[in-house]
Amino acid sequence: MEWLQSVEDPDIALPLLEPFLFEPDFGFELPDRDAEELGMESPEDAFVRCILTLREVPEDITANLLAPIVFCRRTHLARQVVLQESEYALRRPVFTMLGLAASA
Amino acid sequence: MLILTRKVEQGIVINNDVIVRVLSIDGERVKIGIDAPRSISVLREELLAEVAGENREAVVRPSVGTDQLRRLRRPPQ
Repeated sequence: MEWLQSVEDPDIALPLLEPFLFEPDFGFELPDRDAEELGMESPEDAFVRCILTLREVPEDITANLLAPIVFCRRTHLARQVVLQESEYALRRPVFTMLGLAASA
Repeated sequence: MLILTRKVEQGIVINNDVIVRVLSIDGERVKIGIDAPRSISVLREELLAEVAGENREAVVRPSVGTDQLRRLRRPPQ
């Protein structure tokens, strides 16, 4: 797991997870507009993370596959992309899929 | 807000390159066609609101969130 930390507000951070860990076929077409604004020159520039919503009960933790964050390695810019035409879920349970267990 | 009355198949041109057209009306459901350049983002309003809401829910105050994270362990192999 990784963290996206706000530099403007230190109290704000978003937990991120590699979507391919639990959705091996995860894929989408990045709209030209987004690729351009992120300064992408090749597909290798991109890496993708989804936002986790942590909840008290670990089994309730979900990942947002509907609106992943796309980062550009070259420019260090990122943006959240809403995959409107996809079937991906806004709240995909991740806990069981990752084989994690809660410790007491 | 600009309010226009349109009949089926009538359209609205926005900024010369976006055309919004009423395709059909069936009771409370209106089918709308949008012709826009690929550079224009078109999203359902409620979908955007849902994503924004989920983002807010996902925000963790770092000092609070780490406690929850510590409860997660990989099971012994």
